[in-house]
Amino acid sequence: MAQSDFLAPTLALAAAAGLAFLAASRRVRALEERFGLSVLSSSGLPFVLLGAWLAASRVGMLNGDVLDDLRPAFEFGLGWLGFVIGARIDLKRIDQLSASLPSVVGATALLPMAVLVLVCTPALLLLGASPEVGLYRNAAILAACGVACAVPLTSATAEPAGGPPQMLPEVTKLNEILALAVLGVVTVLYRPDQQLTNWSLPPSAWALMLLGLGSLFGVLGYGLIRTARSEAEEFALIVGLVALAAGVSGYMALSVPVVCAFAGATLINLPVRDREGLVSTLDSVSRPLYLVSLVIVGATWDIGLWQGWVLALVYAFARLLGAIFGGLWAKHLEPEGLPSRSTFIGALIPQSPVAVVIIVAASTAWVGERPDSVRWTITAVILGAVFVDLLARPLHATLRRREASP
Amino acid sequence: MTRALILVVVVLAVALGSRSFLPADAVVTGSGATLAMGLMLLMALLSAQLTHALRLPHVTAYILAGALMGPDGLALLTDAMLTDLSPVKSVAVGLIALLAGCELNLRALAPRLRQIGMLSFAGLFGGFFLLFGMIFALLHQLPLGEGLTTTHRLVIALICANGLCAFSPPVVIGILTESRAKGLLTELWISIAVLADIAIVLTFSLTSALAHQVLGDGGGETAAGGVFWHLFGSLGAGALIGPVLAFYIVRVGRRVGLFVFAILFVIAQLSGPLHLDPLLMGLTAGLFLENVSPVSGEQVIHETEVASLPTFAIFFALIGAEIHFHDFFAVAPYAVALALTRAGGLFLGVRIFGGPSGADARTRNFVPFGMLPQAGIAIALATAVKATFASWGPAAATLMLGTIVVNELIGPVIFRIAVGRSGEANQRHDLPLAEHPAHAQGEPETAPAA
Repeated sequence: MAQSDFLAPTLALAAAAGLAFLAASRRVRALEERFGLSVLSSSGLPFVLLGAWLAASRVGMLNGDVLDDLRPAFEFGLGWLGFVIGARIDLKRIDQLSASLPSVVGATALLPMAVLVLVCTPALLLLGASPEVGLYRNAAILAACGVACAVPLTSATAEPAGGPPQMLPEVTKLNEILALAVLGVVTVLYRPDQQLTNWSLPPSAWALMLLGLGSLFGVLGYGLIRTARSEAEEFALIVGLVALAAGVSGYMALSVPVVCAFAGATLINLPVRDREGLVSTLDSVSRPLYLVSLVIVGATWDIGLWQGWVLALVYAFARLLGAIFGGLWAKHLEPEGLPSRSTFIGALIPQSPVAVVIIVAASTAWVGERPDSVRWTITAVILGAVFVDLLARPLHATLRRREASP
Repeated sequence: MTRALILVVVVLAVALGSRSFLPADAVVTGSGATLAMGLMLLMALLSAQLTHALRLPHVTAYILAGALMGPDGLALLTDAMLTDLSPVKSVAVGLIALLAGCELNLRALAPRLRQIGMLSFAGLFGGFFLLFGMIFALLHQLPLGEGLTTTHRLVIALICANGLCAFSPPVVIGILTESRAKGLLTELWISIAVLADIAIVLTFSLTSALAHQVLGDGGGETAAGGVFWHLFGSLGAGALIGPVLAFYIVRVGRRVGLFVFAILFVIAQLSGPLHLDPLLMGLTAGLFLENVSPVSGEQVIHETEVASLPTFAIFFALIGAEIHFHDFFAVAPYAVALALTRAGGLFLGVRIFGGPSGADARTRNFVPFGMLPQAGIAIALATAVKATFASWGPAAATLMLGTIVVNELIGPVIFRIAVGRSGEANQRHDLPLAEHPAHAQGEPETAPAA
């Protein structure tokens, strides 16, 4: 690529970076909280659209070569986001919660997944996806994306002083981990042609490899940060750890966010002195990184495929249905520490930023030429988040009215 | 130290194991560079921890770690991976220059500008004079000089001597930062390294233009015009970037380190296509922040500290990884001779011609130590020689790079010792982040530098 070709996309990405920092400000976050919007459909969508515009053939700034050049940074971003997701899992806190947590997680994850698979698989078939090329894989990935939900931080979901520990944040964190686990299984089952590589292993061995690598990087991270003599050095070591974890897993065609999430979860549950501080350091970078990554996601997004729009509607409907069924079933179990029915279901509806990480990671991990159905799923997850957010507030209001009425 | 050693073994084992997954000639887009970045960063930081006990500069540890893993070392890093990571180098140069600019308070330095200028000139002149003579003499011995006229040899000696005079602001600033040095000599070392680098970039462009004219390949006018644009364009761009940074710091004030990093990424990418110098742009922006804007340079240094450590570590490890030992061994005796000549020229120059600067004898004794290290700029100039002068450039660049290898490995060590003996090490107590204990710190094996 000529150097001059690099100028325009660089400037565009720089503008995106500047916007990302501003979008990460407290004011924008406060607006999101006020209107109950997910990151994607508020500050995130402009970045996706910017990426799509820059990649459009008339503009052509973010073309294939440029995206290849940016791939290391993008892969690092996926790894960082995965690491942060894993690092939010605090096993000690989970142990303090009600014993019915596994049942609640099962209800809010497995039921919506089943609904999404049951609704999206026929839809994909009707739209023309081939059962031989990625139908089940795409359905599984859509199900994984659909389970990841974002908890709006409102007074209703905050932990009351002196009351029982609130289960909701842990439920959604575990749902995100389950969603990543599905992605991990998919990348283990759909491997590159073994004739192209030096290693030839069955899927079960690759699953063990994925878990082993994640754990190894977690332990390695613990050893590394124990040697750090300052906050700056600790940050540099974590950057190196995430880059190595992302690089090794990508090199071995394993899912980058999944390996990094395992690493993050392992590290944070080892006896780290200041867990909160460490998570806060990790978190401080993740939002701008996520927003800049959305520009690259937008660049690979084929917005013009009508099948994607149809699938987005179907996906949004299935997500809402799954969240309602899952929420009702979980409340039916009467666990301690869950908010009211309307608040709980309302919290399960907005889509987590993790969904975009999953759909993009699944798309980049595709071996060989990607069928159109992969592009439809990207559209479905991006637009689905917006559709769900549009429906979430009236639905939440209806649920609250019903709950309040005698 | 034991813990760091075990971690080095684990990191190397992971890297070797994962590299065995694909055939040696396979190129992976993305993952290869990410893997290389992680490997270099971790190995560089762990090597610095290992060499900390040996009192070696961290910069040297980073370079050695890169050299160990590079294509001529364990070959864990391929040439393709290094090429993919080249934007990091430009970002690092911009960051180093920005921080150098933030360190330079012109009002405080004003009474000493004459002294700084004269000491820079003295060192450069001494180094250039001896290097020019030595290279001209060596051209009679080396295959490079075979069949060339005296004029050709003079021109080649001029270009090579000019390029080899370059100092290394990144290494100087890196060592002074890790030594937590503060004082008059520290200011002199930084100012001289930065000012001399501007002079070298400028004179190199001029000597290149002259060489084109003398050797008759017609590139002179373009080169002369390029110098003007390179210098003033870079200064202008830096003067625009400075206010942007100041505005962000004053009005937004959050995630300043990340914002600075993003701006430096833009500088890095603009510099190539627009033929601008990231060093000059970063320096001008830093000077603006420290001397014109309401933001203090110290604030910028503090805010970027978290981003600067990984950037510097990767930058120096990359420089180490790019050392081609095969080429170096081919010219090693000549390279060592040239490195010694350069060092002799710098010391003699400052001793003889530095007298009128008004610096006392002690200052004149210590100043040349900051001129010894070489790295990025010198390598860039050697690469430019290779690319610009097709007939003799590659052979001359090999000789230059061999000399730079000696200076980049030995120079920082000697400079670090000199900083320690100057009495200015550990005089800085204003680096709060460096004081912050790590979140996970239990009982650190090696105590923080006192």
